[in-house]
Amino acid sequence: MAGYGGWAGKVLRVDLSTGRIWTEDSVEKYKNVLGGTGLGYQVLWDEVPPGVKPFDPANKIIFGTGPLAGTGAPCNGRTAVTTLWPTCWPKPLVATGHMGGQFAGELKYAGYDGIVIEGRADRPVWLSIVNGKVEIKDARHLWGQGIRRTTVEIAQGLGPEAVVAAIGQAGENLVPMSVVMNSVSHSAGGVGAVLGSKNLKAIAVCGTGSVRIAGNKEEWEKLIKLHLSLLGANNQHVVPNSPQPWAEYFNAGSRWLASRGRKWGAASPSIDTGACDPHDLSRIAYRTNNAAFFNGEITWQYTVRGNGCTSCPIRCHTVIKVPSVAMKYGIKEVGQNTCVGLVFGRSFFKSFPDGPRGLTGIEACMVGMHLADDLGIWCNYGQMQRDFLKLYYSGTIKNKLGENEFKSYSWDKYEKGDPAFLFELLRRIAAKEGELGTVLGLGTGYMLEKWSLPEAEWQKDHDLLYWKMGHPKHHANEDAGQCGVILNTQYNRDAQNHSHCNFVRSGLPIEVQKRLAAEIWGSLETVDAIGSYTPMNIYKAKMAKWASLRKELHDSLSLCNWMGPWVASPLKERGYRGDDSMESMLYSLATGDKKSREELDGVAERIFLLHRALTIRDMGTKEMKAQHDTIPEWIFHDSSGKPVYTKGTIHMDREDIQLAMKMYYQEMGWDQATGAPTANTYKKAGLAKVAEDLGKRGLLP
Amino acid sequence: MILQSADGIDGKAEEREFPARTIAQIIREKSQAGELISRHEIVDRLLENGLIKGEAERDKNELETLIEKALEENGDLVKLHAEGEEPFFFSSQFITESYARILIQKRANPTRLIAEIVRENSAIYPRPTPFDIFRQPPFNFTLEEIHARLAQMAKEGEYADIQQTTSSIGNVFLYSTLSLNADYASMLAEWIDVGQASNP
Amino acid sequence: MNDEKHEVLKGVVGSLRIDQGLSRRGFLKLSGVSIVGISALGPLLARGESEPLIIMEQAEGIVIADPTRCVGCRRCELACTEFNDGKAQPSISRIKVSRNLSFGPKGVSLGQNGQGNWGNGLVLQDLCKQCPHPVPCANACPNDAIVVKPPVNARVVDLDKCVGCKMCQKACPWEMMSFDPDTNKATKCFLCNGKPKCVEACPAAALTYAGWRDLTDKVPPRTVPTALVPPAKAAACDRCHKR
Repeated sequence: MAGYGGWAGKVLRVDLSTGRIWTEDSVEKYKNVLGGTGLGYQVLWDEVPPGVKPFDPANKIIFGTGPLAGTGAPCNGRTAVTTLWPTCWPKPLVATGHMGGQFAGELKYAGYDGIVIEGRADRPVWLSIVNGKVEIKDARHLWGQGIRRTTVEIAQGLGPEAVVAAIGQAGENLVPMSVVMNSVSHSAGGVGAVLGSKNLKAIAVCGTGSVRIAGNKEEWEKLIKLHLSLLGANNQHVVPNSPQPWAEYFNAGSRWLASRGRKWGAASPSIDTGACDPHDLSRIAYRTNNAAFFNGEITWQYTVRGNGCTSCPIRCHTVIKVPSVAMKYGIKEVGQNTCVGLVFGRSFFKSFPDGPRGLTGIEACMVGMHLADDLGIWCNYGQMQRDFLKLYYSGTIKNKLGENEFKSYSWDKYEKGDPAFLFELLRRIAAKEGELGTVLGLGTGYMLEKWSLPEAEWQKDHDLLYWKMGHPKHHANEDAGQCGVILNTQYNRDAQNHSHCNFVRSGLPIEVQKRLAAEIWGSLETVDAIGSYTPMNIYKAKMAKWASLRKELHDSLSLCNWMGPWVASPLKERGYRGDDSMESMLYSLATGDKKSREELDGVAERIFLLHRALTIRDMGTKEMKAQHDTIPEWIFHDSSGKPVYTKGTIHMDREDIQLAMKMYYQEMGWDQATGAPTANTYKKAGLAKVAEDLGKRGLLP
Repeated sequence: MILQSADGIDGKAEEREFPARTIAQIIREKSQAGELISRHEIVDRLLENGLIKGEAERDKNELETLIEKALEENGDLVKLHAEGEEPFFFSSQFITESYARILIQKRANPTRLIAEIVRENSAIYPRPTPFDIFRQPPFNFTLEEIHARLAQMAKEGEYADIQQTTSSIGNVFLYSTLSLNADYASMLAEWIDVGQASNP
Repeated sequence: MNDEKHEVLKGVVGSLRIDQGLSRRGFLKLSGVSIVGISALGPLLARGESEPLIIMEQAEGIVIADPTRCVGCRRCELACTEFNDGKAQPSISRIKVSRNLSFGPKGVSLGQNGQGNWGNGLVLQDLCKQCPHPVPCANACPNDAIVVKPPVNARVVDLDKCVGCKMCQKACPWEMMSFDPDTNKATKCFLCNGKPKCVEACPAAALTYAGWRDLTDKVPPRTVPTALVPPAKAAACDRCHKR
């Protein structure tokens, strides 16, 4: 280790087939790709040849953190989990899940920047990491148990500070739609079954070591305070939800919900969130209440407090206490999660007896979390639920299920919006029980295949939000026009990229957004008001490139891409400007490896290129434009027939999108015709060997 | 009025200086609590603290001068008033002008306030304004009050641009046709109310 | 002894609340001490290097925690260690939250029925009480390595004197002593010399820095202390407390 701060210094390697445990030097081997997804892609490129399938012992699963994980930098509690993706259809390719909670920090304190797991144990095991002592332990007594029991039982042996990442029955049963979870509510989607296929029930970490800050501690403190001062609420929304004394603007769609009169009603005694002036850094945790954001105003009375990852002041998870569920469903009255994890249960239902913002919806959330977060089921960004709604109400489920199986479900409960229905459904998905249970657990792509449903139908539908390869869109044209579309073509699962939408949903007036955008990407024309799109231009391509790079940068540094980058800030005195060098400043001071914003973006580009190279190699084609970077039909249509570029429509123009992809490839230095990176681009990014390998395979343009 | 400083020293120069500083403090304290303060309330506060003694009417001008001095010497203090209405004071350290305008217009002309908010939102973001926002702080209008004002707006030509649209889950949004057409407003209302939560 | 001295002594002894245990003989002995000045109240009974250090002064401040506001982010632990030690190491943080974060202070035995993230959500923050005399950690130290530091009179580990024996760790009823494996010495809350970094770092306003008050009988202990007061120190107790 060349004396860098940040990195713990070792990557832990575990071969479950042989039981061999060894380490690698993280800095020596992986500094050029930082960690996180960079580490993941590098290992897959170097060690997992094309043709390997997700459940093969030869597949590897990499839990990667970055040099900032475990430090006091805000929002660093993220672990990237990279592997060959079970729901990627029709051919499994590289993808990443992201897990928050305490895992990343604890792994660093134990002395590791990442864990690479390969092979397959011959019986259920769990991995015990207690600082330098790593052991593969018998998990036969845990196999068949849910995530919660697994965690508690392991903690009984390792102590209450153990952080346990475990799979539930879904992962054990090789259900592709499964997760690994730690710290109650923090899941990495899509990877549970990979661990299940390796017979790895859980990874438990106890770390008492440290993460060293290379730079001067006073400077570090100042930098942290600067970063904190620029934070908004969840998703870096910098404008409050309603008029506040300190604010010039307000946005009813903002996640900055704090206000006088809005209380954490289930805290004992209740706590008024108050007008959270952004200059008051001791009130950042009150700004966000995602449970209320998704479920409506009545949720405040059930709110205990915010929760979330180590080091993050935002607390995007909400702990809610709903006494009625104990009596009605026999489940714990306290639950917690965020976003799709929080609304997992309610998203299955078309409506509730007391409306969309009533108590039943909240109860459905509680039942959903109770089941899914123990069984370890994944929702694929809500795609499972959207598919279910369509399949049921179109009569497909009735057609495809045998009569007995169909009758075994209480469809009357489902139609009425009774959360009790979830007990029938979710258990069967985790157990792969029955036709419906099995099919829903496959992921959309394999489900379409199994039930002979045309993908084209999914690609035309405006409500399914389907994009390609078995996954939905994630912040596409509805958020950021052409930039959003471009980003959604780039991955092998839903995009998991928030760099762009954190900015465009910040809540600032469009003129302010344009001004900030011009400073970073070169023109006022970079961003449009939502639903008021203008034709493609080079600046939008620059923004798309920036967004692509920053997502990988965050996933490799361990910074939360749901909170950054920090283009905007809530500070009027800064003209609402954030600081686009936040990442490079933190990286440089923590590690001692001084890199400018541009230099660090260069590293991010290397990481993103690795992902591209892996995808090309494993697809066995360089025809990315035609075969990978595809765009669903629905984005080109408006249900009311409005023409493009009119106010009130988000649909895109075919030729304009062609141009968008062309400009993006140009910005990236990729071949226009195929969308494949050129040898030169790989070389400039320090990936000459990658270029060589692809060249040998005939996969260079 | 006789101005007394706290420690009993009443040389003329200090008499003027001390109250001016106290006026600034009084204004700032109120602003920190998220509220504006009127001239009348400033006098009350000064009286409470024993910094002035009765006879306020006679020395109205003197108080006016002191307030002006406080404003001059303290860049963060702002005086704002609705047309034809008495002025209010606040500190820009704690309250923005946008927020102050809401509080002032709320007293002076709540119907116009609703229209102004709706028009501003429709113009600068642009986005329609949820009906419900007017039931919450700082507006705190009742349902009946809002309905009454909207009914009034529907009758008056100067508010002809204020229109409504409803999201698919039944929430009403207001927008101004000066900046948004019906289609666009409808789409944006749906985005705010349903779209953003369905695309978390 | 003159009246003034007598008055001062009465005042000092009264404020230190040790008059109860003080025999008349002890008081007379005490009165033999020459008082340097009214303002220099301490270390009144530490009469030089050869005498064991017994901390008498009370701390001026204390950090108070509100568990109902704690959101479990651990920024307090990170600030405590990063900003003071230049490394992030929650395990040696002088404010302790991690150990209660998942299951509460009673640990895993209560499973999902306790406190913490797996229980009812409540997270307790453990803080040094800056104990009044007798200060358990300081009195257990055989090297007088825990001292009082102005301006806030926090009880602080003197790194030059600490030998890393961990007796202080065994003495604290709330298990608040940390042991830094990099220095091989003890470390404890020193109130960051009056501007506690944990208080500043908390994003939920769950920590407050307030005037000192005695919380030692208000917060249940976490463990049974098993340290002994070193004999030399125990003998020094005789200075004021004699049967």
